[in-house]
Amino acid sequence: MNEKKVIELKKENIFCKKAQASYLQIIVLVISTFAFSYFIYESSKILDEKQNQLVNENKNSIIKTVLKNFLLKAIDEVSFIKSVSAAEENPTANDGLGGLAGFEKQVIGQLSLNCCPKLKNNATCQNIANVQCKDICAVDCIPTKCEQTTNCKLGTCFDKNEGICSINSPKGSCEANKGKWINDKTGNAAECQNGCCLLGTQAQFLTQTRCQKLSEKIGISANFKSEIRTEIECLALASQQDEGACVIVNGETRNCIFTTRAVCLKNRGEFFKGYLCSNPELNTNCEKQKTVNCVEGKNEVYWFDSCGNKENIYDANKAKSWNNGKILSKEQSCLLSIGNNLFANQKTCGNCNFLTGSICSRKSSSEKLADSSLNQVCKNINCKDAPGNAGTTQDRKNGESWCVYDSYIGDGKDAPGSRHYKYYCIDGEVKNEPCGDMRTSICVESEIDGQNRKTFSNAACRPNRALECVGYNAGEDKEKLRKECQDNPDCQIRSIDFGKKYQFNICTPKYPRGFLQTENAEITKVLCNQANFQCTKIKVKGIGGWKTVAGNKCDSAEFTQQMNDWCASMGDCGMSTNVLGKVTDDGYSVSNAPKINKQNYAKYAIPVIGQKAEPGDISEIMARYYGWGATTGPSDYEPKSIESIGIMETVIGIGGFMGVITALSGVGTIVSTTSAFFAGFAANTLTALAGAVAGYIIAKMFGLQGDAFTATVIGGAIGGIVGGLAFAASVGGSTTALASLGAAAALGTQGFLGALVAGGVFGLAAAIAIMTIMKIMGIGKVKKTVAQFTCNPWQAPRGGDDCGKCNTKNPLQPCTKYKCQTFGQLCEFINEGTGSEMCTKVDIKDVNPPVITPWKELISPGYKYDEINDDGFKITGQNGECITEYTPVIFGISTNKVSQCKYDVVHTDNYDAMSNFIMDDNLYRYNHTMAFNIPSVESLFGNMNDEDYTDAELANLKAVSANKLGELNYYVRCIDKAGTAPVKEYTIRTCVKPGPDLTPPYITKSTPADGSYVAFNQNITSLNIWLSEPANCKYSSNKNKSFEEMENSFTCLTDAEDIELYGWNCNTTINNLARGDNRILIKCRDQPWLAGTINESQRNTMQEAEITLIKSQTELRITEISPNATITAGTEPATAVLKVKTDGGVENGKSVCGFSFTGYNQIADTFSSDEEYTLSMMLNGKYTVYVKCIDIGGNIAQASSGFEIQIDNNAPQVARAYQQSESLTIITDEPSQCTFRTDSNSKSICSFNWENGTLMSGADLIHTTSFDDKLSYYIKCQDVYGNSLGSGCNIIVKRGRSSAPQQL
Amino acid sequence: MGKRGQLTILVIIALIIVAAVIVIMLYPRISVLINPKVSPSSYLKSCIEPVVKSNIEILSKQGGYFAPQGNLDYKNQSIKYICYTAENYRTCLVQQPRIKGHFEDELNNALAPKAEACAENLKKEYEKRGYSVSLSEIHSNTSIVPGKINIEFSMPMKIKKESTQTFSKFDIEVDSKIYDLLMISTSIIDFESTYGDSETTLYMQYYPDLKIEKIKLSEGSRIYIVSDVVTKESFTFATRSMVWPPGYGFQQ
Repeated sequence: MNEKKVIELKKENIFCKKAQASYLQIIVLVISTFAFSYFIYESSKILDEKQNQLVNENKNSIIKTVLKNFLLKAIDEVSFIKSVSAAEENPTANDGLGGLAGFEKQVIGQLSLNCCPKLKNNATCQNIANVQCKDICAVDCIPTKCEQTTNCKLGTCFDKNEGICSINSPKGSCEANKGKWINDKTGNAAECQNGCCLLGTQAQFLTQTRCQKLSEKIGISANFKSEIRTEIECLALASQQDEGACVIVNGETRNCIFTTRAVCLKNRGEFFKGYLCSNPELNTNCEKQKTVNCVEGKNEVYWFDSCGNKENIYDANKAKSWNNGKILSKEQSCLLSIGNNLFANQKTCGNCNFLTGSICSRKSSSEKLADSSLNQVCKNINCKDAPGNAGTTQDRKNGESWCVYDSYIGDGKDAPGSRHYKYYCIDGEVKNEPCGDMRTSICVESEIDGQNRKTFSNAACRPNRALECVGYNAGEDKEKLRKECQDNPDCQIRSIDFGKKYQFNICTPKYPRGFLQTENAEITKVLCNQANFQCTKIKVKGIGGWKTVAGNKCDSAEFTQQMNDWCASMGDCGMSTNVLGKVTDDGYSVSNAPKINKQNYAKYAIPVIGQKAEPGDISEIMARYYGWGATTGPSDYEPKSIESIGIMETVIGIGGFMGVITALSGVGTIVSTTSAFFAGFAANTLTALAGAVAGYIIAKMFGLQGDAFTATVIGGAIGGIVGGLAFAASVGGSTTALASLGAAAALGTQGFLGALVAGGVFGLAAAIAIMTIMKIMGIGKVKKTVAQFTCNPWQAPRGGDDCGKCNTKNPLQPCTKYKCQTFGQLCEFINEGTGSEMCTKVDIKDVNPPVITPWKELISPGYKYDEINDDGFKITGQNGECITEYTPVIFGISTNKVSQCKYDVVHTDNYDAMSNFIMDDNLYRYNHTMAFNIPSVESLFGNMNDEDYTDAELANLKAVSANKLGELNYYVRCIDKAGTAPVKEYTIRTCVKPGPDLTPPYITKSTPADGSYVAFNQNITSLNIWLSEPANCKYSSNKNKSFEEMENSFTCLTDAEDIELYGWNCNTTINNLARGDNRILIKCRDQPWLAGTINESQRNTMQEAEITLIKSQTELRITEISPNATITAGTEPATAVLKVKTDGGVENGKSVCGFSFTGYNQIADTFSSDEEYTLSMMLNGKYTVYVKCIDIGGNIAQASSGFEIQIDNNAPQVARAYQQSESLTIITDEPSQCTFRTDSNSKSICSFNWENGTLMSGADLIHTTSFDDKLSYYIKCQDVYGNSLGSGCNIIVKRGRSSAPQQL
Repeated sequence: MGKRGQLTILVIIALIIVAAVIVIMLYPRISVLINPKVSPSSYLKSCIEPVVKSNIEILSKQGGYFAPQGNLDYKNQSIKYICYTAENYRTCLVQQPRIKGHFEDELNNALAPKAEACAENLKKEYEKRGYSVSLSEIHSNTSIVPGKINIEFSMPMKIKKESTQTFSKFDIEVDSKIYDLLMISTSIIDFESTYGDSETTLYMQYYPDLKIEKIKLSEGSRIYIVSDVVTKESFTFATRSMVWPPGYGFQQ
């Protein structure tokens, strides 16, 4: 039997030197665990990024793909540059508002806005780009914005004579028009406060001055009610005025008119309130109820007496209507409707109701009154069978409005050429208002519950906020993206799923905005290109066979479908349908994934019943707007490389498991101390790691990938453990090897190191063995399939047979230039603006296909078109030599008519069979730019994993490729708009000179660019550069270091297929950015596949390039926000001016600011920090405005301000009045101006208009005038908002015996 | 009755018919001619009213200008931009702050020579009837008010035959709804310059006799035709405000 050992713990042993050493080792081991973990993880990541090589079963496709990439990318770059130039040639008056795409901002940023006081078209005070001054400005431009000039400053123009205000009027034109200019562009000026002016039977909502002028001109005294603040209230008042019979005695005759008291008094008549003129008590000669008629300004049918006076509302029951000669109110009059039948009593009752859809009108043949001799009736002004979507009809009420669409709407599927319309029913007629063409505005609709549970639709055209959607994708904050996108009713979150590693959300427009086919084609191409995407399906061979580790849908139709939906949502892009249901697929091209069925999209030409756009919040207009990369999409969905964290976990797991077993064995058998337990655990972990490192080095040296890599590392780890155990067995003196390891580790440093070395050696051996097995089995090989989707502008169907349909489709939805162009390539919109507009087919008599010739004006220096004939040409050097590898050559072809061109590198039967648009450009042009930058054969195969081929096969493949590159033919066809293309191909022959690459790489682009700013708080930034050819790059902050001496490396993409828009990408992270200039000195070395080989010396190193990033010296700060106190206004809604002062940052405070009333993350609108922003539609109440400003360096400052809007509806009150010596003083409770009349002027003195009184001195609280104690003073005061008592006096100071005035 | 007699009767009938036609065609003037008591106001009104209406019609179609500058050409008609901006995404600047005032000015300038001619003709009519007429300098002033256009003839005139009559001015009123149309247009311009667009259905709901048509042109301009459904008078003007260009905001 085994003897049981008793382990005795002694306190001195716990703190002895050996124990301390053990503790230190344990700590080092634990830390090392994490350090190694990180090391392996990071190394694996880099390895994975580098490990993939192009393996493709189809040898031709290798060349095709690579060549296509080179051609497309190189030419894309050319087209991009041209696009920018186009924008520069046509500078806009746009001053860089938030609505511009990032790149246009860049262009516009180089321009400045000047003020043109008068354009050649006679428009005044227009901000235009400086470069436009000579062309469109009739006078000299002023080099500042119009708002900053004296004459063009905006304010309110007040017509003193008429009392009419015009807000947003330039000072100069106001004064030239004899107006009084008020420095207030909010419309809050006192002179402009509207009130209700009651003039006779009329009510008008206008200024007091205007009311007074009208009163003078019409000759009726006016009653101005300043307390009435809305037009609808004012109109309602018109019907509430006292009316009655006005008897005018003329000798023996008693004439009568039915009118208001004011008019009666003017006519010196006697007023009988509530009486009809036919009332016998008045003893007039007017006989009751002689005719019926309509009354201007009234909706009902009325009886008229024999004198032509209006009586009560028509009722066939005459006695009831006459009401004993007294006025009968509308409410007491007959009822037109019974239940749901609104016109049940149409024959007998004239009590029309405008709100329910009836109004007095001349009767038609279908409408009859009980008395057939009468001609007026309550006419139904609702709309029966009003047209709606998809040919449906519906009864609509008067005033109701609804949306009608040309096509399916939403989900990014609005058809090119389609438009939104607001229809409305007015006076029984259906009218429509088209929303902005090209869907610049959309029709939104909501419903409210009306009477009898019937809904009442309200529709409106509002700006389409689709512009903002793409901008939301900028930035890293996913939650912000989601929220911003969801908050904008015109955006939607599109979930993209191309399989593992390609799952992300992007924000795209819901109602894409359209483009004109014939204008801005270059720019729209760039816009559509934003939905270009490259998806790489990665398969790795594992022990169980091939496994897809990324992008499993990349080569499927689902990829194309999702991409086209994304593409179409960008605007009129991709494959889509016009409103006739004609689908074209010229708008996209896809490689390595199937095309999709065109007819799937035909259904989107048809509007869907019940579809309507959301109203949204119109106050929220775009906040900021940035574009993102054309080829890769937003940075946040860059697919990550294959993660290798699993390897790490496995190693640690194995080590830990073995450690536990070892420790437990030790506990159970030999050592059984706490330190042995930990030592065993740590020792086994460490030996496993040592083996794993050895395995990693081997795997890396031999370029293993995937499972092979994993297996080698794990094999190394196991080998390490085995080695450690073997060593322990030899030194531990135990019969149990596992227990010995714990004992050996517990013995001390020597035992520990011994185990470690043994583990490393065993691990190395195991790794080599496993690596060899893996190599033989082909485990770890990687296959990549790169699917490329190119999104281009949608193209109308070829020909023009449908053009005429645009004119006749629906008269309420007229043809426009935009719609016409979508009906066919040959459709032209003629007679625009004449009233005889028409979409017609261009008469093309030429039925021949386009003839291709070389574009002789365009070819790179040093090259020429050679061997030109009808079938093609050759491009050579000036002496007929071939083109050197990696030398970009630009050339072009011309066609004798506008054409779209395609090419291929293999023969095809016809145009449609060709797969590649030249420069991925589907536009119809005369001249077509081409370019290439042919790589060397070595670069194509330099990084290739050659396991799929034997040495002989690979050599053959290289030879075939070299041969093809050596004499490469491009086969071209061009098609005209009518759809005519040649059968015969046009051949462009090239010849690439093989030979050593002697050209060093160069940087084509960097982001951030040289001289860019960095925010004050930003200490690190990523730096991306693109190179002319694959290369490795390093950088340093010190000048003149050799490539080898440079301390920091870039991570570079070096496969031929990795080429992007600007070449091959390298990226790094720059740390520890200092304030001021940060210089980054870069060198790159080409032909990375030669690294570590005997041909390393053939690599070319570029000259040192420098990129300087400038970090802000100070923070951007918001120093002041106004309003920050109470703002008093006279009317609601009021306006307030938001001003923000900033300093610091990159440009001494210059920044773009945004604000919202809900928080910093809800920025609704933007403005420049040196501008004011007018907050309109402000209602009475307290507000907090949140302001966030950002400068071009990315410095952000935010602050908030609280303020209150108070609406002053109250007339000023007189607080005190007194006489002082010869003057009368009154004190008001708020700043105001007071006027007075004395009783020497007239009798009923308080009815005078405030303006007509004598002005007292003082415009604040104290008002004085000279005082004559023999007179009474009738005083009226008006505050700065135009509030006054109207027809009353604020105070009447009466004469009296004493010197002190009396107050009433 | 002999043939000669029948012919005579036929000639007489023909002459009567011709005379009747002439009387009908030239009734206003003839009524003055045959009416020994010429009413100056009626005469002036009948003289000036057709001119007022034709001028209003021209002005109304062109945004209140006879020769609009800063205009939009649409259907062979020049229409004044009352509010305009060349920029995108911006509300317009008022180009004619006093729509009504300017309309009056234009109308007044156009009517002044005609008013003078009418006054001179009136003088001649009196003189033909044996009156001695003295007429001082003639001024006319036009103002637009709700429901009518007032033309004030300031023309001190003294006529003498058996007795002497003195006139200092004559007020002529021509029915017109143009005031309401101009006021609504001013309000629409306020909307356009403040918010970029106007909601016209609201106006039509408030004022049943009002019809507003809004024509949107593809380059961003809008043409408003404000009309009275009863009198069929209308006022047309153009604006360009808060233009959202096609695509993603690029200019042509």
